[in-house]
Amino acid sequence: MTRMKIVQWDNQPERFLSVKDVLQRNTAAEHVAVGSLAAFRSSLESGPVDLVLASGSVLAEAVAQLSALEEAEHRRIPLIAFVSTEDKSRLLATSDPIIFDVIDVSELDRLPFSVTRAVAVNSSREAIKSELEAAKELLLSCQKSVSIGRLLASIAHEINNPLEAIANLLFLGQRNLSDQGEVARCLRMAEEELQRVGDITKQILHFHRDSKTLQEVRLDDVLESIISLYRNRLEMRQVEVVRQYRSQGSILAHPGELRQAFSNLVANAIDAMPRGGRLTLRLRDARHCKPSVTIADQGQGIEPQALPHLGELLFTTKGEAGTGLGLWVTYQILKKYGASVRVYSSTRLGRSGTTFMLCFAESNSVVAKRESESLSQMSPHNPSPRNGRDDRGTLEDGHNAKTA
Amino acid sequence: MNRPRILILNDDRRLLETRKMLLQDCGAEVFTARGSEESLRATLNDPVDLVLIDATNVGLEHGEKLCGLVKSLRPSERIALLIKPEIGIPIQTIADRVIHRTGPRRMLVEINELLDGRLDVELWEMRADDEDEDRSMGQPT
Repeated sequence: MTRMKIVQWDNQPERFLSVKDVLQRNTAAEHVAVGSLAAFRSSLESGPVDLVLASGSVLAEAVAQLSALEEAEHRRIPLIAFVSTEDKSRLLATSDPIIFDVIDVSELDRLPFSVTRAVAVNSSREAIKSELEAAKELLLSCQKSVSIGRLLASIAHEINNPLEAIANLLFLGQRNLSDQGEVARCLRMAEEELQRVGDITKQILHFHRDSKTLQEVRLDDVLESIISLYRNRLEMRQVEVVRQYRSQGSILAHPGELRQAFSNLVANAIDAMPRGGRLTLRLRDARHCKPSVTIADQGQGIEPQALPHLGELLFTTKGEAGTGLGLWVTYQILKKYGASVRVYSSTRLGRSGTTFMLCFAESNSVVAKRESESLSQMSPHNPSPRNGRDDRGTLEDGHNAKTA
Repeated sequence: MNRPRILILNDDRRLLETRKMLLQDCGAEVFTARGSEESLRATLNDPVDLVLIDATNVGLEHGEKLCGLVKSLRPSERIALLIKPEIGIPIQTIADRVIHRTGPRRMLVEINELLDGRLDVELWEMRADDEDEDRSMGQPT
């Protein structure tokens, strides 16, 4: 069994010996005593630490250090506060998740039990966390299969209609073999339908030809390939597509991932308009978003209580027809590219609809990257990337918004 | 014999057009509408002999809804519901006949049965069947 490593940070060195003594008598622990922030940091960096004991005077700094570590490395080191009786009651009222226990200096006997429990609880927590991560990974790969299934169904549907039209025309041609004009008309129309099948397959091949390396992806190209794929569905639903491409923004990305992310949003927008409407696709450069992508529909809108849950795993507004995975995957992909998502929706009769605004961080755009590279050649320091934030558009009355 | 009047509901414009051509060629008077309740209400002003609803494009649930609407507006009108070949025929359906979408021949034969043989399709079908039979007879066993 490996020994626990416990770091005690205290500015009263006389307490080190008593703590070390208690721990060594009751646990298999390696005790490291530190008296300064520098020594504390260095002990954290020197190897895995199982627990930190911090006295009242350094407690705030210790919590800040451990919180930063958790943020950066996604692992938590539990802390036991070793404080005076007065401080104990004050600390017990606070609820910082990093502080596992608060021990009064007069109840030193309780320390071994608390230490053992803190380390055990934390290791179970870490195990559950890694299982959860593994489950999420699995779910993402399952979603890829679901997407492929949905795409296949969509392809079958898109191709089936022109194929049946061709079958009808050939049948009609056979019935009218003596009428050359009619036969020619049928063949001409069949050829057009065949062209339609060809266009669909070409789009699908283009849609799924993907590169394993990051490449410059023009977002208008991505949106257009999605519109081509859904052309028939858009036509059947009588959905008018309004394109407002005011930017030729490109970002460095895997094109397939971006297509998957955008295609979920476009498919949802089409689904939201069974009786037709307008689908607006807008690309523009805002102050902090280069580029910003807007996908807006005139569907029935999303209920305000559902908005905060958009993008959550397994959350769907489509009842049994939804999986609760599509939007989650979209959010995961966008998050990967540093994009933020804002959703505005209204269910007000006559003015209903939903707008997704995606803001790609300027630092992720190809132009910004090139500028940054040329700047770095001239200047010794690189500009730090800014978080993606858009100019907040005017919200219409009755619209509800969610920022992710 | 008077020409049978058929209303076809479909959202795919080109499929709608070719089905119309096909049924017209078989002697029917054909009307078309998109697969929405509004367009169905607008088209059902004049009586027809058969309403052909394509549930593969509008969805089975919506297809059944349209069937219900037809029956509520014009109870005497017959309905043929086209469905995907891979799904089973729904046990409870308002349609008078459910036809698997497997091509024009099957569709015409079944529609013709519903219209009591008023389409000009039977002879041609029989000839095609005979030709198939002749071909199979000519093959070695």
